[in-house]
Amino acid sequence: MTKIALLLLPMAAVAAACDADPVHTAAVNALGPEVAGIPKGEYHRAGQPCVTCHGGEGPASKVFSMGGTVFYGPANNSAPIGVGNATVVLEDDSQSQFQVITNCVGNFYIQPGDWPGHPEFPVLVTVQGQPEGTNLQVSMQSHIGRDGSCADCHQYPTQLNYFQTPGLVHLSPTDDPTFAGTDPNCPVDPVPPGFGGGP
Amino acid sequence: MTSARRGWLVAVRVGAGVALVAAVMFAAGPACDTPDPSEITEIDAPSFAQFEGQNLSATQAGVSRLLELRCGSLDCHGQVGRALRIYGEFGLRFVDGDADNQPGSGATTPTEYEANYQSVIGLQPEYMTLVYEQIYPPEALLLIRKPLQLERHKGGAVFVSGDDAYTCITSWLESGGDAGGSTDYDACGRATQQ
Repeated sequence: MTKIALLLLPMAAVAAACDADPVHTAAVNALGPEVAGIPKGEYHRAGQPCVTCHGGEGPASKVFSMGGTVFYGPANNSAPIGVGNATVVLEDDSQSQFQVITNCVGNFYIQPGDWPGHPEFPVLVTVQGQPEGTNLQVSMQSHIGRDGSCADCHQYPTQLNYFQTPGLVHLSPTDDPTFAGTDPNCPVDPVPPGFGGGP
Repeated sequence: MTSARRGWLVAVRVGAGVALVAAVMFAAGPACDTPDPSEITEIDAPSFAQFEGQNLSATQAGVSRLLELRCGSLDCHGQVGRALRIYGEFGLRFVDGDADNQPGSGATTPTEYEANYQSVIGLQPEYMTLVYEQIYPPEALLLIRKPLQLERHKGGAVFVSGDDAYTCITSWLESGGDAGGSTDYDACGRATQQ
């Protein structure tokens, strides 16, 4: 029994030390824990890079090929706030098109079975929405090269990252501090925590 | 075993050990060699002015503009960790004094054109010289091999042989040497519109 324990102990130590992909693990850890009051699911982690966890390497079990969050404005003068019912129109290199609608916190995602065999990068993207009775549309100036997470590039701009991010994905070129979200019955506050929108 | 034979075996083992240590030190020696600061690699490279594209019409573009649009998105070569690092209006910005531009705002700056040029010609400096002097074809360079997918490229096929993007870059690469010539700015312009 002692011999078996002595054999298993180093094996367990080696297994614990063997992180298959430390870069991926670090990227997941950098996102931090879940926030109290927002359960895991379609409304969580707005503004974070979805495919980091949902890209097949875990820890999330549901796999996304693309995903992100659409905000109202650039959040220069007010907290970022998600826009629901916005249409995200994608066109890939094979000219196949796909549309997906954001939920009430602005999140959207595409699973591999939703758009089978696609996207073939590069991908062009346009976002359309009608918050507050407006009719807004914005297209990305460049293409998406290969990253399924909008938020890997589209981050809340700070003094540290301003040179490598165009800012959050946003429909309106200006903020509207009176905009309170598209769905008063949304189960989660569309102002995500962090990003200047709370703890 | 006689004591003489035992002594012989000990001597062999000690000798083998010494030889092994010497071999490891010999192998490690070159790896620990310090770089010679006086040694430089001179590059014969195509024109910076043609790379930047100066005094062009609205339908023309320089090589940098094409690379910025096709290669320099923030999720590809618009990242500081890339050997081929591309700065520009729509991607990574060069932190340059007061020019605190963000991706998507503010035209590509002269410093960014210069940085892109250095990145492109410095990727394979010896091969760049050989291609510029038309000793090797453009396909010798990773700059061409990767987007043609002659080598594995995570970004996939960015252009195909003979199209406008290919013509733009190869005409620039071959603009010197014995044949001379000029970058096909019209092809560059068309390629940036596609």
